[in-house]
This record gives sequence, structure tokens and C-alpha cells, in this order.
Amino acid sequence: MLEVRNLTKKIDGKTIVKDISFSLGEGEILGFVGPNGAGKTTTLRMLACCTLPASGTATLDSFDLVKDDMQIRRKIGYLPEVPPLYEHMKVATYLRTIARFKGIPANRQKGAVDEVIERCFINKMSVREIGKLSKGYRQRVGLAQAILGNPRLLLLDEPTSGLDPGQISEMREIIRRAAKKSMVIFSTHILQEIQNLCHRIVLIKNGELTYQGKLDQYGLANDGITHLVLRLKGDRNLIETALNPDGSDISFHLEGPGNGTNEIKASVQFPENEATQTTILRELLNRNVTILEVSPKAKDLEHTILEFMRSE
Amino acid sequence: MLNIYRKELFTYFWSPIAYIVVPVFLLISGYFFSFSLYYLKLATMSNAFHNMSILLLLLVPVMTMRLIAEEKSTGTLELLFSMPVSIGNILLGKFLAAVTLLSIMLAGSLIFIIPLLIHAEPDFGPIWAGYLGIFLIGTCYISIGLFVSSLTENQIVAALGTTAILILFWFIRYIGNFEALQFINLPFDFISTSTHQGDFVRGLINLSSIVYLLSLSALFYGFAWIRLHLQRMG
Repeated sequence: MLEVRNLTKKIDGKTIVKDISFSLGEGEILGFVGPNGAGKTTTLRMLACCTLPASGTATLDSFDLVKDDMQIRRKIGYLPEVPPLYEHMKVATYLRTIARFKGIPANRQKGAVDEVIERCFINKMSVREIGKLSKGYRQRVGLAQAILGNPRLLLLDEPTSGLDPGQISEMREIIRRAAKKSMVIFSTHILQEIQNLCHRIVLIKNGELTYQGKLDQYGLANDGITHLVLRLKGDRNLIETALNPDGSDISFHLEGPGNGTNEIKASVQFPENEATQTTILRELLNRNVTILEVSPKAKDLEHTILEFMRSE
Repeated sequence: MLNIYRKELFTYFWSPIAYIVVPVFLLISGYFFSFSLYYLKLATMSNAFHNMSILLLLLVPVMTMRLIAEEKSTGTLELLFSMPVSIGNILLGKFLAAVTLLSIMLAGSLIFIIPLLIHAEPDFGPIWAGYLGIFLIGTCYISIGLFVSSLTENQIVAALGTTAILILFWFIRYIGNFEALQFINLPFDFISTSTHQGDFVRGLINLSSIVYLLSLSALFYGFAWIRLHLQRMG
């Protein structure tokens, strides 16, 4: 279990990360989402013990990030945005070196290296010099060093940036499998990745955490607007009148014939207010409109997150 | 620490550095030694030690320039920070790898003793004292190089910076000779590495020289530790 409480980082007097708190449980993949310069990398670097926080705490399995940093380092795997590789080494030699650095016992090093070579699909490249590998393979070798030894916490900083679609798909698969053995935090600004991989997201902007929770609830929780989808049966004109009471801020869109016998689908948006919702439903019932279904609808995720990234 | 040492030693012998530095050191010091023995008819190692010290002023920066600067520029220093290895052990592993390369260079020069034995009956006291001196001075140079390498990502800057500091320490004893600078009341003679080298070559093993050279190594090792610690503090 990872618990992060009020983590803050200042560089040259400027606050880069401010009071970030979140937690992460077994088998979870947490997506760090935010525009460039939001503080994602700095937060990951703090959790990877590469830089010390100005204040706040983080505990991993009850070990403190600052006081017990050596124990923490034994439990993490970290892949920075640019894979940290010794270019002159062969892939297997490099991974063997990392295994030694990680303190994996000598009799288990070979097995651990062979396992990650298998998991990251780099068997054919294991005797190649790292400096001669393509970007995709370099990224995989970087990921292999991070997952070596099955760390409790895997920190991945934009692991798929600059890869082609095929390589991205393979990387996702590797990360998904890694999550069976490790908790995973990864930063990204690729929306497909958030949707495909993350159980939860943390949105960071200007160093501050602005949202954390399940991905599909972000649209609902975010903007103070209620989005409802209604399946109705009744006269179209009556439905339009019911959805448009005087002085209301309701906007709606109807689909279907609405001739009284066939279904009509209404997408309705209005400022978050329970009274408005009740009013709409009462108005519909008063006009003898049958309400078949009322369901909340999240705003389109991609649209919502893009809005978040672009907003000041 | 041993793992860092292994990796550094591997890097020295994978890269051209070891294959350039060791032969260059042995060829040039061998040339001057032969010149001194066969042309000047001096059956002694003292000139050879002096020339070796000057050569190390130029070769040690090449040995140390990449130690930290390369890790910084490639991002692997971040990797080391995230591993269960302390900053002290990172530096010690790198320092000892460079000291090992220095030892290989000095061990190679032991071959110079053979012609001395053939042509004369050398006094081994000054020879062993000279080797002790040059080893201690070499470790000081390495420590200074390690520190300068921790200041930059650029290996050329690290090499030039190290050379500048090493030359300063070598020639600083002459500052006292300038009347305009005599108001600076510092023991320049003692600070200068060339003074201590001279003593060792004459066969004098002063405890004060040993303590000074070891302290100088420790001081710059400490500076490098502080530099990396500050970097981690961010």
C-alpha cells in the first residue's frame, strides 16, 4: 500500500508540487495526467527517491520515503522519461548490472534477468549493444530494468512516448502484466492509455492535484453540470414543453419520432441542482409522458480531459 | 559499492580510455626514463617519477572526466539515485575503479627497474618511496577529478576544469616567489603537490606529506559527496 500525504517540492523557492495526497492499493494502475510542466515527473522523482520532498510524507508498506529511503529503493522500479541506459553494454549485461545494483542475490540474478527479457519481448536483442537498438527496444530495455526483481511499486514516466502504435500496444501489455505483481503509477498525456490501462487517475495541474478517482466519474464530478439521458414515451411537443420550463437553464436534444407510441431519447443538461431534476421529471409526468429510464451520462472523456489540459 | 566498482572498471576497459591512457603513460614515461638512463647516464628513478607526475596532470583528467558527468548527461545518475546504493558508495566505487587504473599504470612502470638493475645497483629506498608518493598524488588527482566531474554534464569541461585545478596545485608553491603576492600569508610550499612529490622522490617519507595528501583526497571526495547530495535535495 502506498500512502502519499501533502507531498510538496520547491525548486529555487518556486513550488513545483503542492500538497499532493493520494493512495494506491494492490494491483492498481494509477494514471498521472496533466499538461507539460504540471509536476507529474517531479512527483514521480520524489517517489523514486531521486529528489527529496520539501515537506509531506509518503509511506510504502509502512516505510517512510525519507527516513527509510534505502528500504523504499529496494521496493521500487523506476523508468524515467528518457530510459537510463549504459549505451556501451549489451542488453543482458546491463540488466545483470542493474540486478546487482538492486541487491538481487547472486543466485537469483540470472533467473530474474531471463524473466524480464522474456516479459519485455527482448530475447532477440539480449546480446546486442544497447547503443545500437531502436527507440522501441531501448524503451523496452528501460522498462525491463524497472520491473526487474518484481518491485512493489513501479513508477513509469511517459513509458510510451515516441513509440509507434504497435510498440505502444506491446508496452501496454507489458505494463498490464507487470501490474499483476506490482502497484503501478504512470504519467501520460495520451488519452487512449488512460482509458486502456488505468483503474484510477490523478489529475495534476500547476503542481496541484485537481481530481482523483475513477476515470469514468471524472466527467460527472468535474464541471457542476448534470447530464441526463432519458428514455421517454409520449408526445414530442409535450416533452419539449416539459423540458423547457420558464427561466430554466436547461438544454436538451431529442432523438426519435415522439409520436406517442415510439420511444424518444432525450439528452438533457442543466446546472447541478436536485430541484431542477425533480421539476423536469414532475413536468414530464404531469403531461402524461412515460419515463422508461433515467440515467446519468459522463461528458465525453477525451473532450473533458482535453478541456482540463487546455484550461488556465 | 563493489557493484559500482565492477561497472566502472568494465566501462574503462570497454571504452578506449584504458587502452589509450595506460600505453601513453608507459610510452612517454619510458621514453624519458630511457633518455635519463642512457643519454644523461643517471641510474635513478627520480627523473622518471617527476615526469610521471607531470604526465598524470594531463592523463588523470581523461580518466576522471566521465565518472559523474556522463551519468548526468545520460540520465543514469537518476537511475543510481533510485537504487539501494548510497551516494558515498557510488563515489567510492568510481574512485576505486580510477585508482585501480592508476595502479595498473604504475605497476606497468615497474619494468623500468630492470634496466636499472642491469646497469647499476639502485637504492630501493627512494624507489619505493617515490612509488608511494606518486600513488598518493595520483589518488589526490583522481579525487579532484571526481569532484569536478560532479559539477557538470560536459566531459570536456570536466577534463579542462580538472587539469586547471591540478596545475594550480602543482605550481602553487611558486606563488610565494612573486613579491606582489607575498601579502598572502599561506604555506604555498606545503599546499603544493610538487613539494611533496619532491620529498618522496628523495626517499623522504614524511608523515605530514602522507596525511596532507590523504586529507586532500578526502576533502575533494567530500566536496563531490556534498555536490551530489545537494543535487538530490534539488
